[in-house]
Amino acid sequence: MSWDNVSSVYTIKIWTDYSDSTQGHLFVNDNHQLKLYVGIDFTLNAGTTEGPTDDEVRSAITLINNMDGGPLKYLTIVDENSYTAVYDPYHTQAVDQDDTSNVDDGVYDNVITYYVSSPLSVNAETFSESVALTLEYHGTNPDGTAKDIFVDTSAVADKGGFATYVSVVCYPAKLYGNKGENRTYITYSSAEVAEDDCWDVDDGHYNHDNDQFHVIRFYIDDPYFKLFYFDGCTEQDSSVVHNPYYRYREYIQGNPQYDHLYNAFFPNVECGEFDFDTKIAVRPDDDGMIAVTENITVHQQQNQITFLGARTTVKSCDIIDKSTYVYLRVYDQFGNNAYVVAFSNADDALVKSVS
Amino acid sequence: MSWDNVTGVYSAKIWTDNPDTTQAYLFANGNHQVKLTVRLIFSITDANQPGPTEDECKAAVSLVDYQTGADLSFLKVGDKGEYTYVYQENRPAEVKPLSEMDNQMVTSAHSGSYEFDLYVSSDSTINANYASEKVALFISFIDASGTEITYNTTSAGKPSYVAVNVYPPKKYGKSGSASTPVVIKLKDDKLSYNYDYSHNVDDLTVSAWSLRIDDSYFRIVNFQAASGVQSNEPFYRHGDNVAAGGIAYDEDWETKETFLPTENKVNQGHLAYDSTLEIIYDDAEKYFFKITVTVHQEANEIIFINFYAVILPPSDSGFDNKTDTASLSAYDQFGNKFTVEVSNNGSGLQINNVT
Repeated sequence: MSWDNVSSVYTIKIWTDYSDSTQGHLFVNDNHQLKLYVGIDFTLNAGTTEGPTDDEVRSAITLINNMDGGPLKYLTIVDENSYTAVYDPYHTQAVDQDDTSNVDDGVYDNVITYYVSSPLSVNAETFSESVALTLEYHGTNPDGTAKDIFVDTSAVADKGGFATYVSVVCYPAKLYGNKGENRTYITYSSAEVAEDDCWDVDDGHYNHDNDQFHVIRFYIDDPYFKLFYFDGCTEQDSSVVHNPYYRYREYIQGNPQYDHLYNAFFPNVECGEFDFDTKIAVRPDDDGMIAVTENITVHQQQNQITFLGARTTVKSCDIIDKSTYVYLRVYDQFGNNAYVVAFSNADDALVKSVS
Repeated sequence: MSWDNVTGVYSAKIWTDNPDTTQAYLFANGNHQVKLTVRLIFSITDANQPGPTEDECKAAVSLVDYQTGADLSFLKVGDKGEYTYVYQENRPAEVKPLSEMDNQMVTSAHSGSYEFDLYVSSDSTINANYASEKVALFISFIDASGTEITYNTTSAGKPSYVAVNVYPPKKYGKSGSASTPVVIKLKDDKLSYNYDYSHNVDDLTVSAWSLRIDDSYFRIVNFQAASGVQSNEPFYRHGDNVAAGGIAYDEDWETKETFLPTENKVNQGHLAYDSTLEIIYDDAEKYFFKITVTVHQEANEIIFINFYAVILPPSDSGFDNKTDTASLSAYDQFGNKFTVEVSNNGSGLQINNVT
């Protein structure tokens, strides 16, 4: 394939996945990305059927500022990352997520995709920018004459019938808060683990009974924004036995000694909708003695970070309280992030602060 | 360089980098600025000769009222300042197609484009009623024959304008007031720390408190503290003699101290830093010991540190209470200013007033 067969550009267009494919919406948070498509249809020389490859076309295209035809001011072309969710400021989900959408379905010889982001270092003020493009190729025809193909789709180009651009609206990073604050907030819910979803792996070193387990889910209290990732998260691994970040002794009686032993755990499993098994060691101290090791099956949904709680009644056991915190940097699906401090009481994992 | 080669204005346009390039939104607080971009192309006699310099070009341009063509009434032009963030909160991000550009198929010789940014602001001294104003261009220069050439983009000329929609300065207040609240929240009461453990100290707790605008959109981007307040010496200290000294008895002081550390920075992403604080017991600034704490700070918050411990003081100490408050001036991203006074009420930090 090559440019040899190209006579001219027949049509060219840039668009997005939005229902109004001339616009896109982007958070300026150093994570979020917007996908752009450029479709081109060439007029080929008579008797030929193949034009340039996508790579050849890509090398001929430059994305430019639509207003002045110069380089992009507030957007940069980047490699695809995890934060390519399509942000709809109206939250209407009016989004065409289908890559083979009708706008490019068979119409174009070449469809080139780009991801753009708007880094804080160049757009802290959240200016918006409309993106046009140039396509420029200079070569030689088989007869030795120069082949010069140039298309500028920006608003400042002399009119030539190829005006096409995408308006990219930029937004400041979204801020999250704790429940009771005026920000979209991160909170929790908890539920007892069903009997079918827990079983003893190891009966431990102490007499214990009345074991209860519950799963605590941190989530963004919003129908649209979702917890998507947190730093340091891991894939599910049911072979790992987690130790508690929180222990608490509740006195029941002295002779024989019975106590309620509370533990809280953070299995550190990545976000997403899936089931996973995790093991927790319910224990009175850090020294190796265990009340019970339990396998818990968690049915995690989207927009959740999972914590676990355990309560058991133990006999003749010295319990050393512990109340460390869990510190998380969490991200929504657009890469907006927040620092979350989690603590526990006897019953649940709780949100200490969000900033 | 000069205007000798120029016969007229080929095209002139003014816009702002918003989704609708004809609409900008400005707080009339004297700090916030709207960026306006001007792009000019001149008709010239000889395409091989230069046109005016950029400085000459800028000097030929005035911003005028779009309706009347007169000087601007409610806006003033200035150099770029600190507060040029795009304000668009709660506004549908309407993306309007570009107005028709001046890209005629005219083949007469014309210069390259001249493009530069101008910044306008407003305040109550020139705009007591916070009136909005549409901004257009007026261009004037003397050509080679000594004739003044003028051109304008007002409603009476070849229209191009930006409507600057003006708002009164935003007001902030305490929680429960009618204004957007400024709050101080406990962020983490288990900060990690290091100090000289040879001192006799019990129940040591160091807490981080977060001062911020309680909103998902408006955020603190700058602040200045009153003289002496931002320091790694406490602005507040309080001691209670909880155990009197005597034969075989230690003297214990329950000590509370509050700091606005010098390491504090806002609007610089999320930071983790160590801050070394002096736990001081008298007005001569004698200190029990220094303690180094690790702080995590987000871009939009100001960090206060609260120290609590029961301390066996050195033999020469006599605890002097100091109950100063911390007074700050802070700015949101649009340069709206507020002052806030923070105090320690004995059990935590509180905001006394916001003005």
